[in-house]
Amino acid sequence: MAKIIVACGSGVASSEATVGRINTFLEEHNVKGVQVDATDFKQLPSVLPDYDVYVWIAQPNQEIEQIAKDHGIAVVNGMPIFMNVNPEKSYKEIFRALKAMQKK
Amino acid sequence: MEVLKTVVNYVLNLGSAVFVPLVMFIIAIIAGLKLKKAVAAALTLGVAFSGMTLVVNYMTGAIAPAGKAMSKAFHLSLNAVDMGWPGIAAITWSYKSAFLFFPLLLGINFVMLTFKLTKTLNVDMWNVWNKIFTYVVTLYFTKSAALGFLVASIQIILELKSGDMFQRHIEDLTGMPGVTVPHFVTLFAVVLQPLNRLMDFIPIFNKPFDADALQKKIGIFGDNTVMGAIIGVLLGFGAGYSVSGSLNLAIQAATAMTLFPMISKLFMKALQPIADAMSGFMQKHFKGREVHIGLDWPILAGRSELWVTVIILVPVMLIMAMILPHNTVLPFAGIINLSFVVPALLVTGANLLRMLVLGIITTPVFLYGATYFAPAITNLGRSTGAVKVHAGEQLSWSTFEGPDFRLFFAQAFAGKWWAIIAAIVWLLIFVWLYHDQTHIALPGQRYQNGKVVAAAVAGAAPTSMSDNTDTDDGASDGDDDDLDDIDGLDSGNASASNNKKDDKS
Repeated sequence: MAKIIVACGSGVASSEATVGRINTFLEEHNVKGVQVDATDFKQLPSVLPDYDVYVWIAQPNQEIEQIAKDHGIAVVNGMPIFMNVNPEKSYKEIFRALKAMQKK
Repeated sequence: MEVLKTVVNYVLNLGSAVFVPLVMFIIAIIAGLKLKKAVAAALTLGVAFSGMTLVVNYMTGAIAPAGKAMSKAFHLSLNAVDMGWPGIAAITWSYKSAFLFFPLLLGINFVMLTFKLTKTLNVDMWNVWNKIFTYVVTLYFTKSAALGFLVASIQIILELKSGDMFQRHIEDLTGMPGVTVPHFVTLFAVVLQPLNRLMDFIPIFNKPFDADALQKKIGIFGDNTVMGAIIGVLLGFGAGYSVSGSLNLAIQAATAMTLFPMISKLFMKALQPIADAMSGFMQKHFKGREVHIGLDWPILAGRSELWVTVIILVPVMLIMAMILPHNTVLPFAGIINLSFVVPALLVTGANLLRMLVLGIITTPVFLYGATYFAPAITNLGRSTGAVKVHAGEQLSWSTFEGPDFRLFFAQAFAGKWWAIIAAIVWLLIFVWLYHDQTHIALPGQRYQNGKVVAAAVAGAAPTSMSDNTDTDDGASDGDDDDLDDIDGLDSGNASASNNKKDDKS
């Protein structure tokens, strides 16, 4: 099981919208075994270690970057998905992270 | 004719938990969604309404009696329960003409972009709800649907202008080009503007401050569950409950606080296919045009100043609710003051000390706003049937968004002379703010040696819709992978790099 997380202010609107789009993309490409969750920034530092990929829509601060580094979490810029401008760019990065996990 | 009338009345009387999903389903089909997805979206919306009703009633049942007991003990009048924005958004979406505001927003943005009156393309369809809410509030005071639409339209125009003026500051604060935040809350910057300009004369407010370290220390208090429990236990003691009673209230309060965002998510899930179809239409139409893409405020949430400020303001809000005379609102679900902190971050250029002081000064504005609008909110809650309100109780929202704008403009159109003057003054300050924000130095260079630098403007470069917004740092180009290769990938057996708790692999 691969786990992706998206974070925003309340874990309700922006992150959920991004999660919805990622799910649609995965569905369209028939990708299985990926769980995508939304959370809010206040909780992010405590839940992030349980995930494999962090898709951000607000630039990660030092604390988050450190956690990602320590736990080997792939950090992906989710702005293209959130803005809906060339989202393929983010999807490719997510794809690469998922593929890297399979090799292990 | 009689038959049609009967049918229409029957449908309208189904109740919002049935009626609105039905409208949702029809719109989804028109928007070209597959039947399966349209059904799922409509049902999710109905579930979201019923779920929110459950949580709000649960919360009210736990909080209201405690608020009453505390009011009695301290001779206060805290009879309005704070539903926060998730609760208010829920009852607003259940309003019968809610879906009319999508075309209103799209239409105004379309016209303004076509005539080059704005550079902002607002694709944030979630926050359509705060336009609906303005309509509802205006309708309550003016009894005129037309005026309701008019005030909502004024709000949409001002939001787009706000998106224009803050864009270069947002780029500086987040490092992301071509995006902006045309959110209603940013208009509270009008109230902050005169105060913020006064602070220019005081040297201590002109020094940069490191908020990162502070955020790490107080971050735990920002956790919804923890905060709910703390407020619950304090409320229990304030109400004179026993230790066991207070601890039980703490768990109930934590439950409500934890469940609120979970239910709100369902609204987003339900509305998203439609919102995507709408924003996709706009983006396609203005392809090739240079625009700033308008998004919801969380793109700013990477700034530590924002979180440090809201968390420190929580006890401030609680204390003020106790001591301000005539306040009726007991802060709870809405206690995280996002309605203040987003405009404060933008207008001060992320100056922590200024944000804190402005926050303390303006907390009464929000509490009195919440007190003032409580009857309108209670009326909305009753009329949509979304929540139960007992006699002697009210519903409100302690950090009511844009109390200034909604009060002045709704009452101005209701013919109140003081509100007409206030609305005109408000617009003049907006013009002043717009001028300042388009000329002032970017947040990164604004405060130097205890002085404000009013520096030159280098015109912000908008994004071209056809172009790639290159926010990527070049760490990966993605050219070596074909996206179609992802087809059929199964990560079910992938050995997760860090899933220590997950034994499935």
